[in-house]
Amino acid sequence: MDPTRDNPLLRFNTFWWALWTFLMFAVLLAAVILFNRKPPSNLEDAAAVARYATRDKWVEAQSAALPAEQIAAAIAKVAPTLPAAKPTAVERPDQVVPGSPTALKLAAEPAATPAPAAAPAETVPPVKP
Amino acid sequence: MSSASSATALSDATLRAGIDRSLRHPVMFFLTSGAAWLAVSILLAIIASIKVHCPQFMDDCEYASYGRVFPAHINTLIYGWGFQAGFGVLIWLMARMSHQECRAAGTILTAGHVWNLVVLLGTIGILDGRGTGMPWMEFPAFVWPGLLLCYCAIVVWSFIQFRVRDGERSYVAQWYLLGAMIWFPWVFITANGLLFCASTHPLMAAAINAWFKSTLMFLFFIPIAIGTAYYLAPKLTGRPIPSTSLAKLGFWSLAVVAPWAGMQKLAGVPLTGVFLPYLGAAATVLLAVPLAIAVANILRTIYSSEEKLPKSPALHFTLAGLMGLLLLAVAAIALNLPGSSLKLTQFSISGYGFEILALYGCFSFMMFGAVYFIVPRITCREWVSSRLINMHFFFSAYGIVAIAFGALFGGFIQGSAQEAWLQPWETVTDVVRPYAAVSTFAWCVILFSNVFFFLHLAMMWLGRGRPCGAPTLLDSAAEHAAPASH
Repeated sequence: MDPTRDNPLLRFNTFWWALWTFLMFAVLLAAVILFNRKPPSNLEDAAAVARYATRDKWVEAQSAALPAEQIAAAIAKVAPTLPAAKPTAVERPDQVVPGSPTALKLAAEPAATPAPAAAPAETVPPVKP
Repeated sequence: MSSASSATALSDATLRAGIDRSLRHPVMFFLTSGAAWLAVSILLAIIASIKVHCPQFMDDCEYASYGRVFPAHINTLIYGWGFQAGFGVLIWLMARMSHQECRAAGTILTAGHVWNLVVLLGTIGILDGRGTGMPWMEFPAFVWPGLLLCYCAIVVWSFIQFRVRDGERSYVAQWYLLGAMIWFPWVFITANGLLFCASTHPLMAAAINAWFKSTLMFLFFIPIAIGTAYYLAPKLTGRPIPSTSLAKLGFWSLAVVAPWAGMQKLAGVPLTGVFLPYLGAAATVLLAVPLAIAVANILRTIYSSEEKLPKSPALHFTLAGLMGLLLLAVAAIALNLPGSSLKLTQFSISGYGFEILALYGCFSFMMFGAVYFIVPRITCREWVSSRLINMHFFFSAYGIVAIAFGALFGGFIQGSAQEAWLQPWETVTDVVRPYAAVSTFAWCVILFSNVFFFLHLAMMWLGRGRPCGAPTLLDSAAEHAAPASH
């Protein structure tokens, strides 16, 4: 073994040199991240800003229309009445279980003219993505 | 033999014995715990594979859902087995080629235990539903700094050994190992830093993840595999590498091309036009060149001494790993041609086949070869049974061939079904089902072989190996006849 090549100082230097090599990648990455912080520059990022704004608006509107406190309050009021409530017969033909006594009874009756479907309370124009 | 040369041989043997003794516990710890993680990973692979063709299997257990078991399988294969096998082989090869004893075995061993603990926590995190959802990086975010610190504590001593090595010359194997040692922190810090420490755009995060997978494969696992083969082939055959220039070309072309590969998986994504995906596809196709160069150079070494091939287990596994490397080079071209094959393989099981081919068909086979070479030297015992080695080799080889070919070919069929717009989507899952069933059977075969490999390895570490001077060879007629050449 060459005694001049293997000495404690060289080992010590190499130890720190190797650790610095590993750390250098982290330092370079941190520099790249720090010096590249800029507002959106391409079409995809610009479109994403608009999308996120629309999403935030809808989330806010939904929260305002049906606040969690109201739901909690309603549950507290309605829940105790549910166990006491008795099941009632379903009247709408599309909800009747096929083959059940109600279904047989409805089938025996003469067909009634179906009522026109109720119009939606408010039509919301679709949001462009 | 003159007295001077016999004195040199004695001093060399003493030095080698000292190196082996200094690294005995760290190397055996990494190899044995790696083998245990490999068995765990294969067990998880079997569950994940069954769930592809039989989704109701274990469906009442949330920890066994496909979305958790599959990432746990891949991550234990990479960080549990792959890295630990790589560490064990790397630190031993570097010490041997640098002619330096290890003076930090305790630190390495401690870091190895911490590494295992961190991998265990990460695996539990994935199974508990806390995975990140990014392939090959699914461990919860707290895991990666721990892995990085352990890596530094394990590998930094090999840098020192290389720097203070005996003489100025370096071996081809050392280039690849040193490259892997430096490239890994770059890839790991960059990918994890950008994904977990910076607010990266989701599309870019997917691209970084694809790049990480590719570079981890081609800048860490494959260089270690090639470096090991460059060490074992001349050592076992007694013949030199035929062309150092070709080896240099292979090394530098890998170093230049591999960092650009990976982003072809995002073809069609609005990511700065088509530049990055097409660049990734071109680089992956070009990777066939350094891989083919390495295969050609090492095969010429092995076949220059063909008579040793039937006997040596290490050479058998190395040769099988080289075949895996060659197949990987062909698959890199066949799967990534934009406009023809890429659209068929982009969202199919071909990607999994490619990864398993790289991790098991190439890297793991080279590591098995190294294990069969290294362990008798550091335990001063011979392998107990050539039959167990034979079983390990053939079951592993047949299993991996079934999985790799099934996934690569099945991926093309799956991709074609995806492209058939008029068919219901159900046909896509239907066409894959037979390949998934084959894959399940093949993983069972591989598990069978690796459980015995682990037990064999554990017996060697516990000193239950054969206390005999003659190596365990695959050729039973020659068993106990050939002299040990440690």
